[in-house]
Amino acid sequence: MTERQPARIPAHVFVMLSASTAVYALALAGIAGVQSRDDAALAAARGPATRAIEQVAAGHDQLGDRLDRARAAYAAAAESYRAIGGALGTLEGQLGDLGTVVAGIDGVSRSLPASVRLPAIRGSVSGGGVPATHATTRASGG
Amino acid sequence: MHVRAGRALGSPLRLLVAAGDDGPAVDEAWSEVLRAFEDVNRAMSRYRVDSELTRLNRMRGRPARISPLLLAALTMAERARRITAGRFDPRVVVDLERLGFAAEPQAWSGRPPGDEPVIRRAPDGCVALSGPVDLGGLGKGIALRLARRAAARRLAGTGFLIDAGGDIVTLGRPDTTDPASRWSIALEDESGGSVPIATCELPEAWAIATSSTRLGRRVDESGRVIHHLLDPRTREPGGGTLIAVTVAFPDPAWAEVWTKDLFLEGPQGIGPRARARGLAAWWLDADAGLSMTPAARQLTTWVRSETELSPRAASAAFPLPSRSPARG
Repeated sequence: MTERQPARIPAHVFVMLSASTAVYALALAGIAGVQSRDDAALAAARGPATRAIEQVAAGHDQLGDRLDRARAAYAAAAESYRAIGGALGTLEGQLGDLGTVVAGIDGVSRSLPASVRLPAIRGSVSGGGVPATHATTRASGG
Repeated sequence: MHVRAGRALGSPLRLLVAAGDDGPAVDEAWSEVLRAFEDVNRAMSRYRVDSELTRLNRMRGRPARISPLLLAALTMAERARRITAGRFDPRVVVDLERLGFAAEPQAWSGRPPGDEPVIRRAPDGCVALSGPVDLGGLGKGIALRLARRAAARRLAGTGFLIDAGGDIVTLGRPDTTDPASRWSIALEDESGGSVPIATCELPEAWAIATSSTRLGRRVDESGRVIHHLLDPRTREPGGGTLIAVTVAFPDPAWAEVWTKDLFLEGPQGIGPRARARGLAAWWLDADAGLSMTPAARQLTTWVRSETELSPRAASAAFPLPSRSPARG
């Protein structure tokens, strides 16, 4: 019985394998380098857009805050209006009462005489002697 | 009361100062008053041969360069002519001279027909008259306006009164300690009586002026009454039976204008016209006596024709308070 010898791999195969592996490694390294540069350029190109998006987001947050405040102010105004509404109702009732009173006065005034003879009273016009004066107006010849 | 007295524009001139020291401030105010009247006299007098107005009148309508003061006066005269629809018109010199109210002769033509303005302005700033002009009464009112303004600068906060022969301006009060005090003015009886026909009190910074036929009034051979208040529309003495018109108004120059305007309306129209303008006006009619507008009544403190309503007679019907002793 003969023992079968394991097959021997020729040396040039190892050389070929090593060479191809080295070539592959070099190619891979080159591709990685190119990709790294592309990634850096892309990140630089996206920078302004990213900052703008951040600013828009911040503005949106501020707008949201303002809307919240406006909503609160509206709620307060609505509450005040509801409170005033009651006072207006009261005022309307008082105006109605006043209208009734005015109508009554109008009726009374129509029943009054057209003129009333008043007694002579002593006011600023004196019926006595000439008051003391500072000067006299007269024809000045002009 | 501190008093300074003199003469200006042919009339007595007085300054009454209510309070304070009778010192340099009063003297300076009096100097300012005299200066204002002299400025007007030099610019507007028809009685001076060397006045600007006389020189301009004698230009016979040719353009000339004049002072800002005379230009302002002529501009105001033209405005007064328009506002009064021609009742006030300074172009009556021809008729004044014809009726014997001459000063330095300077008339060359009558009032132009139509609605021609008193002055025309040339592009080079010169001014031409459309007819000879008399600024007598208006000039005195302007002088009082300038004098009040000038005196007020010297008498800051002190009440005073300037009386130019019966045309009067006031400022402030006669008693600085009494906020209710007012300058009290008598209205002379222009029909010849020795007792005033009424008295009134002027608000602060007001004026009062009277136009009357008393001075220079005469009757000509035909029995026609001649006086110097001419109606520019008829070129004859106007006013009918009216003897005098007094107007109280804030500005003395316009008070002068209104007295002429109302006087020429005559006895029938004067009341409605004065009331329509809201003027404080008193007028004396030879037939109807004294009348006044509601605005004048508010300023009136005493009326001679109501003296008959003696306090004694009034108290019989309506007892008066005992703290007001009856007078007269």
